[in-house]
Amino acid sequence: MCPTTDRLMSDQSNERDDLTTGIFGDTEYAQPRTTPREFKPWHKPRKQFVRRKQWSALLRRLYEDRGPGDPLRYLGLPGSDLIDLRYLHEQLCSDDGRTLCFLGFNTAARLGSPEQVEMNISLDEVRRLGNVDGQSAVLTDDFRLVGNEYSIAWSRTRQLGPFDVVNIDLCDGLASESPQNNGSIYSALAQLMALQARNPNPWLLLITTRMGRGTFDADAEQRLISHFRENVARCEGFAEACGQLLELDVESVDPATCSEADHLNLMTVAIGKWLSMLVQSQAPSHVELASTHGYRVNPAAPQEDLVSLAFRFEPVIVASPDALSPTAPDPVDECAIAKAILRRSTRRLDVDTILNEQPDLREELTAETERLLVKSRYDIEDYRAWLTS
Amino acid sequence: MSLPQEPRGEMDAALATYIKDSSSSSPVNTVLRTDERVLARVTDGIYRQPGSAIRELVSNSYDADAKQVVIKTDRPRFRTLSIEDDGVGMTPAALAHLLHHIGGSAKRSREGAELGIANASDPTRSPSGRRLIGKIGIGLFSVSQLTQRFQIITKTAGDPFRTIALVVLRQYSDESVPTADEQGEHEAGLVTIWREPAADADSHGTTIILTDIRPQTRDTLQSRGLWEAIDVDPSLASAEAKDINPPYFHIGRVRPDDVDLLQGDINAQNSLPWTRDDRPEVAFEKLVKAVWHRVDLGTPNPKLEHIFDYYLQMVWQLSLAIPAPYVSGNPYDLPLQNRLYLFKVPQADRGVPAGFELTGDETIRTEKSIGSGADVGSDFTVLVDDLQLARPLVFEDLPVTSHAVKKPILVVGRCREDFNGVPSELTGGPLEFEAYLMWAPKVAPTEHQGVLVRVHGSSGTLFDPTFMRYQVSEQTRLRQMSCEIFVSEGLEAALNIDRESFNYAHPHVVYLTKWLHTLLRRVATIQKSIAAGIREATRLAEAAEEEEALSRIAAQAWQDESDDPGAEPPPIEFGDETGEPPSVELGAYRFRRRPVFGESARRRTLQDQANERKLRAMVQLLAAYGVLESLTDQQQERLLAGMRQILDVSDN
Repeated sequence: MCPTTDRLMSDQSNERDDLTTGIFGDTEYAQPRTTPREFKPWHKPRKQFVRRKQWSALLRRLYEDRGPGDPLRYLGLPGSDLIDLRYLHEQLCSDDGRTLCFLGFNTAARLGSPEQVEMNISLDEVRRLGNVDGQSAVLTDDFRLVGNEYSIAWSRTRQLGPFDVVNIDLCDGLASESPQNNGSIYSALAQLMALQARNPNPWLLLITTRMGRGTFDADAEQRLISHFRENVARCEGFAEACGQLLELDVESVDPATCSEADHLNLMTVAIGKWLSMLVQSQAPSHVELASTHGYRVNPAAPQEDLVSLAFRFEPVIVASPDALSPTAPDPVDECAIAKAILRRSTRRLDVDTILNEQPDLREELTAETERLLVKSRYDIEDYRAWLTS
Repeated sequence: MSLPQEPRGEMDAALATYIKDSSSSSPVNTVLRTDERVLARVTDGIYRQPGSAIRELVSNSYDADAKQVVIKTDRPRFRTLSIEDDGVGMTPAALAHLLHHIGGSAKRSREGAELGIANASDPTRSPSGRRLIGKIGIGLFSVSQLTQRFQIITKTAGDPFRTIALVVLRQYSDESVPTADEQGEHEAGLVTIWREPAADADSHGTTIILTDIRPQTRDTLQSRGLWEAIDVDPSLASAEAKDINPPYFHIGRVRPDDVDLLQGDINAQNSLPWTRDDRPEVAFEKLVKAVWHRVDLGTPNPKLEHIFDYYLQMVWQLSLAIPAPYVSGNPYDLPLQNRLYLFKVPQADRGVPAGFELTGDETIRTEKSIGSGADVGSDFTVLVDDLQLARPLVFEDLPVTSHAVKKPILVVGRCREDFNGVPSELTGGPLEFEAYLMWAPKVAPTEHQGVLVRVHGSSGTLFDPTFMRYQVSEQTRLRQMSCEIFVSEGLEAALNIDRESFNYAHPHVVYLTKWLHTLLRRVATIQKSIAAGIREATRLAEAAEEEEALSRIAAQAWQDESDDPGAEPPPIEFGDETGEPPSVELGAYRFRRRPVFGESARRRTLQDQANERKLRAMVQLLAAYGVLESLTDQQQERLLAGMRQILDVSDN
C-alpha cells in the first residue's frame, strides 16, 4: 500500500522520479576503448636532467647517512606512466634493497578516463617491482584537497606521512593559484608542511613551477613578496646581498618594474621564505635551497620560465635556554637562510643551455629517457622524431 | 534407441521424433542435459552481499597459488576497489577460456592443467598442490555484485607481456535474452583485450580493478542506511529508530554533498581499535580483542551488526571465509594444559566422547593425532587496507562469567564415511572431515554461535546458528556453542552455486547433519555432567564451611559457659520412633525424629539438611545454657519442633 497522507500524496510524482535515480551510476554498455599513448612534456631529456642531476643526486645525499633499512617515503603528483617513481626506485631502491612507500595524486586518472587504465597498468608494474610497500597508492583526488583537513586526501597523507621526499611537480605551478581559493595549492602545502615538520630526519621538498612576471596571481604575488620585503627591512646582510646580486630597487621591491631575472630570483626567495616560515612555525628547521634548475617551456621567454626548486629541510633540536622557565628558542637564523636561498637562486642551472652545449650529455639523457619509456610500455620508434618536432 | 550427440538442435529434433514413435515396449533411453542459459543468469549476480564478491576473488587468488592478496579500497568513499595477487597469472589462452566459458571453468579438468591453472597430475589441485576452492568458474564474475565495469591485468612468469582486459557486463534480462548465437551461447558482456610489453619478465599475478562501483553497492559499503537512520531528527524518529546508535567501530563516512570530504568532528571521523602505526597483523588482532573487550565494557552479548559498520563486518566475514591462520593460534596446536575440558569423539563415532588432559607443551595434535583439517598453509596472506586477515576465533583467555563452568569444553572428532555398498552415483563419493565443538559460557561475537563448515579451508556459509536445523529446544546451550567442521573430502557438490548455503537433500549434508546433531546431544550431556559435578562439589564445600561455622558458635558457647577451653558441645542426634538413634555417642542428646521434623515423607532437600545442621547448633546452645535440663522430654521435642518450623518459615 502506498502512503496516503496528504503530504505524501503530493510528493508521489517526485518520489516516482527519485526511485530510478542512483541505480545506474555512469556505466555505459559499450565496447571499452583504448587510447593511443602520446609522449608528454616530462619525456624530454631536460626533465631527465632534473631527475638525474637534481632529484636523484639530492636523494642520494639525503640517504648517505641512513641505513639501507630506512624506507624512502615519497609523496608526489605522478603522471600515469609513473616515470619519476620508476626512476627513483631504480636509483635508490632496486639495488640498495630500500623500500619505496609512495603516495601519489593524479586527477587525470579519474574514473572512467583512458588515463585511468594507463595508471592502473603502471601501478601494477611499479607495485610489483620489489621493495615497494604494499600501502603505496595513487589517489585520483586533487592534491589541493590535502589543504582540507576533512578530506580523504589529507587523511591518507597523514596516514602515510611524514615523507622523506615531497615532489610537487606542477604543470601550471603555483603561479595561477589564488590564495583565496579554498583548497588552493598554498593551503595544501601549508597543511603538508605541518605534517612534514614532524619528520625527525632531513627531507626534501621538490617544487616544479612556472615562473615569470604576469604568471602569478596578483594577490598571491604580493603576499609572497611581503616576506621578501620583510627580510630586506629586518636583515642588513640580506639587503646587502640583494644589492650585490639583484638589479632591483631594494627599497621598493616592485615586481612590476624589476627585470625578469630579478623577478625569478625574487619569487624563488619569496617561496623559500614562505616554506621556511611554514616549517619554523611547527618545528625549528634548517632550510636550504639545495639546487635550482630551470628551462624554457616557451622558447621565446626572456628567462627560464619553469624552475625546479629543491629545498632541503633539516630539523634542529634545541632546548629552551632556561630549563625551569622555558621560552621558545630561536635557533634558526632566518636572515642567513634567506640570503643563502637568494645566492643559490642566482646560481640556477639553465638546463637548455647545458644540453645545447653538451650534446653527449643530451644523448645520454635521451637514451636514459628511452629506457624509462620502454619500461613504461611506450613504443619509442617515433620518440626522437617527436623530440625534434 | 541411441541418440546423435551433436549438434544440439538436431539432437532435440531427433529426440522429439523418437518420443513420438516410442511405446512402453520401445521407450526412449537418453540422458538429461543442462542448458547454458542458467549460467548466463549466474554471471549477473547470485550473491547477497558485496563481500561475497570479494570472497570469491580471494578464492580465485588462492587457487592461483597466490602467496599474498592485497585488497585496496578508497574507504569510506568506495569509488574504486582493487584486488592484487602474486599468483600464477593467466596466459592469453587461460584468459580466453575464462572469458568465453563463464561457469565452465577449466579448473578441475585436464584442460586446466594445460592452461596452467591446475595441477598437472591432479586437476583438483592448484599448480603448486593446494586443494582448489573455486570450481565452476563464476568467481570472477561475482564482481557483477559490485560493478558492471572492471579491468583485469594479468601476467605469468617468463611472459614478456602483460595481458589487459577491460570488461563491461551486461544486465541479464529474461525478456530480452542476449542474442543467442548458433551454439546457444549468450552475450554476458563486452571485453576489450590487448597485450602490453612488460619489462619485468619474471613477475606474475593478477590484478582486478573495479571501477564504477554500483551506486547501491557503494551505499551498502558506506553503511549509508545505518548513518541515515542515526542522523534522523530525534523528534521525527520512531521509538525504534531512536534506539539505533552509531557503531562502536567504524571507518567514518563521506559527506553526502561532497564525497571527497569526511563527515564528523575532525578528531572523530572514524573509530577504530588500531592506530595508523600498527602493522596489519597487529591491527587485526586489536580488532578481534576489541570485540571480546565489549563483553568487559558492558555489552554482554556483542553483536557485530551493532558494534561494526558494514565495512568492518565485511572484513570480519571475509576473515572467517578464507583459508587464513587463526588470529591467536590453531586450537589443535595450543598447549591447552588445564585451560579447557578436552574430549575426543571415538573413531567412527560409536560411543561417548572420552575426556583427556594435556600437560606441559602437549597439544591436541601431538596427543590425539588430529587437527590436519584446520591446517592452512602459512604462505597465504590477505590484506584488506590496514588489516591482515586471520580467523577471528579465540580459544584462550576468554572473559570469566558467573557460570559455574568457568573453563570452556572442547570436543574434537574426525569422521570418514565411504558409504560402502551404495553406488557412488547416489552417495556423491566418500565424505571425510574433522571438527571441533567448543562450549563456553559466552561466545562472542554472537555471530559465532553456530556451526561453520569449511571445505578445504574455505567457507562461504559462515556460522549457521541453527546448527544445521537442530530441532531440540536447547536455545541457551546452543548459544554457548561454536563449532567448526573441516571437510577434506566430499561435500563440495552439496554447496549451492553461491557457496553460501547447502543443498540439504545431498547425502553428504544429511550425514553431516546427523553427525553434528549426535555430537550436540553428547556435548550437552558432557556439559550438564561437568556443571552438575561442579555444583555438587560447590555444595559439599559450602556445607562443610557452614558446618564449621555452626560448630564454632556452639563450641564458643560451651567454652564460655564451662570456662573450659577443652569443652566440646555434645552431639545432637535424631533417631527413629523408639528414640534409639542408629549410633549413640557418649553424652549425646537424643531426640525422636518424627516429633521434631513432623510426618512429612517428602524427600529432604538441601535446605532441609542445612536447617537440620542449624537446629543441632541451636540445641547445642540451649544445652550449653542448661535450658534443656529444665524441660521434660516432650517439652524439649515441642521446643525443637517449634524452632524447626521457624527455620522452615524463614526459608519460604
